[in-house]
Amino acid sequence: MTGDPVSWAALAPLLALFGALVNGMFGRRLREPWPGYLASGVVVLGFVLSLLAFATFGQREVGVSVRLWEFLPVAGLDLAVGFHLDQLSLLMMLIVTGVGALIHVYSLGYMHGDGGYARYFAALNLFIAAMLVLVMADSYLLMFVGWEGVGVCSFLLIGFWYRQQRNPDAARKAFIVNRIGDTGFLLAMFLMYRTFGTLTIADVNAAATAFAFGAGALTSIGVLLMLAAAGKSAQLPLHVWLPDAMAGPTPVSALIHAATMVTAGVYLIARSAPLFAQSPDASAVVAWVGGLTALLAALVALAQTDIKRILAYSTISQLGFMFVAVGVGAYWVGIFHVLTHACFKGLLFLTSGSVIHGLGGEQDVRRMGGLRRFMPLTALTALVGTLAIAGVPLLAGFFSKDAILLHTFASTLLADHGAGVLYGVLLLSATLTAAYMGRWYLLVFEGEPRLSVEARGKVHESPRVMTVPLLVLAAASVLTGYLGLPAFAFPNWIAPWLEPATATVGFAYPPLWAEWLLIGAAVLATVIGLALAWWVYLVQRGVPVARLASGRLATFARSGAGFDALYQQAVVGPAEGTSVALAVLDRDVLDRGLAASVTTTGVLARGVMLLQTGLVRNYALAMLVGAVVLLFVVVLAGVRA
Amino acid sequence: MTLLPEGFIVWSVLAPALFLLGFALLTLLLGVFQRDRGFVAAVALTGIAGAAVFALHFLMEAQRGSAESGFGLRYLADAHASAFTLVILLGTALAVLVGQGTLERLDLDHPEYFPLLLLSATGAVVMVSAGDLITLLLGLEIMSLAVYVLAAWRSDVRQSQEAGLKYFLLGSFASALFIYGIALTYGAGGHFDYASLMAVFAATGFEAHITALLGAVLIIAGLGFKVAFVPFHQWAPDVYTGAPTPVTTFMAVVVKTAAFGALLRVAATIFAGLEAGALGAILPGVLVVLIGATLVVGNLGALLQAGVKRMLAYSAVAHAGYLGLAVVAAGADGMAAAGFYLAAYTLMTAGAFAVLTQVMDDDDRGDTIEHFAGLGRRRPWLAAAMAVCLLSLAGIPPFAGFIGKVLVIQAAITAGHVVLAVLAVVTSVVAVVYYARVVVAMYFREQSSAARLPERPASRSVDVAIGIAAVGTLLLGLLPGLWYTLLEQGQNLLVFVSSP
Repeated sequence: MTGDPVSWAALAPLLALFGALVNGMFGRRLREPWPGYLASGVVVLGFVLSLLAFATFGQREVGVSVRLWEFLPVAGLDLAVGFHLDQLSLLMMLIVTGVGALIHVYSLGYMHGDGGYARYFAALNLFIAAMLVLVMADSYLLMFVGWEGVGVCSFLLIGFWYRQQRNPDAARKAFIVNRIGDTGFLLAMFLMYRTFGTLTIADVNAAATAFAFGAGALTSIGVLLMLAAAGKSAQLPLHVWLPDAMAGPTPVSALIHAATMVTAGVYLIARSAPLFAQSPDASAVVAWVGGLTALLAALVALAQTDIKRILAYSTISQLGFMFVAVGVGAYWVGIFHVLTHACFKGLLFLTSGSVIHGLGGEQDVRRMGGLRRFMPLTALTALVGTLAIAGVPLLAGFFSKDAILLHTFASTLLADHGAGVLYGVLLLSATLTAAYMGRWYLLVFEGEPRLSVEARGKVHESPRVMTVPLLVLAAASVLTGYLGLPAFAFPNWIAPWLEPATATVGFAYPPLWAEWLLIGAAVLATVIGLALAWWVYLVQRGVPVARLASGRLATFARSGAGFDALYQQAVVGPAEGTSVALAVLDRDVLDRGLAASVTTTGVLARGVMLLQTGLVRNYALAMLVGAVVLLFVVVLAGVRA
Repeated sequence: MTLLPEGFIVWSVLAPALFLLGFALLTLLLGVFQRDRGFVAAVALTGIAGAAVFALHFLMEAQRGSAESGFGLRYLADAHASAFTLVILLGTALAVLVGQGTLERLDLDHPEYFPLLLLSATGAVVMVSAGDLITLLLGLEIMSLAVYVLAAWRSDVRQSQEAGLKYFLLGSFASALFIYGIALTYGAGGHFDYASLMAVFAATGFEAHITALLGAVLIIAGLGFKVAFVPFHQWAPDVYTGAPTPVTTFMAVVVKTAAFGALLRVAATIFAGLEAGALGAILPGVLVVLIGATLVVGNLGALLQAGVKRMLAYSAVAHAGYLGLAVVAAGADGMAAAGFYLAAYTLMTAGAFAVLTQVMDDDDRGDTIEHFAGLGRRRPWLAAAMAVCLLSLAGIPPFAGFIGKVLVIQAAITAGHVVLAVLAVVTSVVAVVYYARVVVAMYFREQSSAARLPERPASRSVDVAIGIAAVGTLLLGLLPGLWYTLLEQGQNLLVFVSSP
């Protein structure tokens, strides 16, 4: 540990790990609030360390490397464990520990009285530790450790209430789908090591910059990395796990499945920015996957009826926006949207948690409505979140989404890959975003209450430990946007700050009047979307959609665009068939062969035991014979040679 | 009488051994006056700690490239000697802790236990520090005599007497082979110290190849007895099983470490010299056959044992085979790999035996798998420690045994012994079966009514030993670089001569 306060941030993951260990091993013996206090304390401390590192980092050009230990230096492969703290990782640390701390505090209220209280906080702390390792790692290998770590924590927390069959099933689904992405990560690492001979991120990036522009190796690595990112960040075609992941406790959905873990894919692309900047083809894959995901998920979100599933599809769609940003080469914009999205989507999930908490477990938006009267604070903060994500001017989501639209429009990296069409796709998605979020808010908080009788008796505003984090996140959902004002007319802080940590890609910015026009278009999209929702759900009380409900498009959207059914037929069915066939092969062919080898081994083992007579004279004889035979052989071989 | 050259004798290199010897005598005296066994044990541990400080000092010096030697190159304090001394001291300390916690219960409460352990450890330290065949022989005998006595420690129990006698008789036989090997080697090379022998054997114009090879084979036989290479291994299962468990702990870890430390040094110098000359291919062939046989017999022997103690005894034979992979690569990465492996082996084997003392009854019996059934429920921490040690012995990540296996197998492959490496991997599969059987019994089977865990207060010193072993096994598996870099980067006297 050096005297540089930046390097002290390396302690943050260790603190979280400590919290996880204590809660995991001794949590059962601690009485209720203490596991929560401990878990929240270590994360708050981690946030303070991150903030300190952030404040003292200043305007440095190069990051700070903290080498922790040599793992095992063998045969030229340097498996050192170290952290690299630069602008990008520090910003991610602030998001992880900041939002993480708020959600830990919120969980104190949400998980009150749950049987697995300590287990919950142990897993949550472990998640923070793994996520910090992921964003701080100085090599892809260590990043992969964090990558898998967050996957495990996600699995544990989705299936947290494991007594209902549905939840472990969702956890398994998430894990298995993620494994497909992980294969991409592993293959990318193999290819990197073969191409560049190193797995250290800085070295890989430096080597990639020196590589031929658009080289096939770079594209292959890039596409494999995107496969990994698509798994973790729920992009097409691996997005199917995220809606089901809502089976976990709501704070988990907010922290892991909205604010932090699912953005790891975006971070991975941004971290490898110099590599992607050298490969337009790989970048195009990233951007187009993101664009199509954004559109499709927004469409599906319109038809969902579960308060959390709507938000889940919304997250998938917003992640698509981020991938477009990093795909077109606007790396700072992608991370900027990660930041604003972490605030407003975290907020939206926590408000929905507050609603579920207040209604005693009700999650269907068709049985809500008019909740603003019972839960004024929740409704107010939810409104802020809704307007922010919809892109209403002066709120955070407006600035980051507008930057994405602008940079897609002005992209040169993807000029040959249909950047113009992509812009249109995003604009349509933005309209839909405003529409489905308007629908979400109106169905839950406005109109006539449609509560069930027992819910009506119970409904109440949540305790202060839950509403205070809501207020903080609501403030952040407004303020974070001002870090990245449109650069052509206002001071923009975040772009030049993040630039040294990523890569610089050229953009053909349009003239000033056109930029204002683009902003106008974005605002118009928002207004149309919100107005549509207002007219359909408040003025007409949902009558127009009732007529559409049996239509093909609505059915399609309700079923999540048919992916689950498709995978059931195309993947799960054949896989099960193969499993059955393999089982037969295993039982009737391999096991028989193995049984024979086991029998042989057993016979040999008995032979060995027979030689062990227990008599000293026999042992001495064996030694003598052994020595004599060896001597004889040596003499014979020596004389002959 | 010739005058010795200036700086010929460097007393300071003897510091670890002399410190142990001094404390051995001190504990012997204390045992007469002091009835408090705990106090004597504490004094013994102090002596071990003191010796460890010196060894650590020499290891750090070796890191800086200024390793020391005394008496010409006959007694060395380089990286190899210091690192192996540290492993020996670790094993001795664990044996002291286990003995302190169990001897009274086994009705073996004689104060001579501790001085004998320290004396034996002194011999072990001399063995790994030797740079000369005579020094090596002295160390070997100092170490062995004390262990012969310790093996027969339970004079009223037939198995223990038998173990001591068997060990003594066969050990004498092996010593005879060893001494004959030294004589032949001296006859061929005209020197006792490794450095000169290596130079003579490798030199052009050297004629007495066959004599030197015969000497080398007999040296392998003598040291192979101590490390339990097949066919010189048969004493091991009987003696390990018959000796009191704390003594078995000591034998399994310390004696093996010392013998391997010596064998590696001999292999890296004398054998390397022979391999450089004509007929160079014969000796590696002999070693490969012995090591291959050890891997097969050790693992197969362990497979069908009903008693866990006897299973661990065979497992010790099997691990001699894995360490053998490092011996055939002694000139290159083998010494560092073996240094890591033995540290891991000491921790996990001593840990497993220490847990065994807690499961076995006051008669030092009751070690069948049945006795382990349901241990995970009754004594979760004890079972967890046992599971860590056994999984590590089986070579499963993230424990130290896995890294050790990777290192020795890699060393063997680098040295060109691919067949042996493959055999090591295949036999590892068999090994998983017998280790996992105990783990399965602990966690997935109910306690049988016949085999009850004896009701008695837990012994704090044994708990400490188990804790050190289990945590160390995990730590060394997670952060192998901490120990391995010291081994790999330290200066080894004599080795540089072998690199042409």
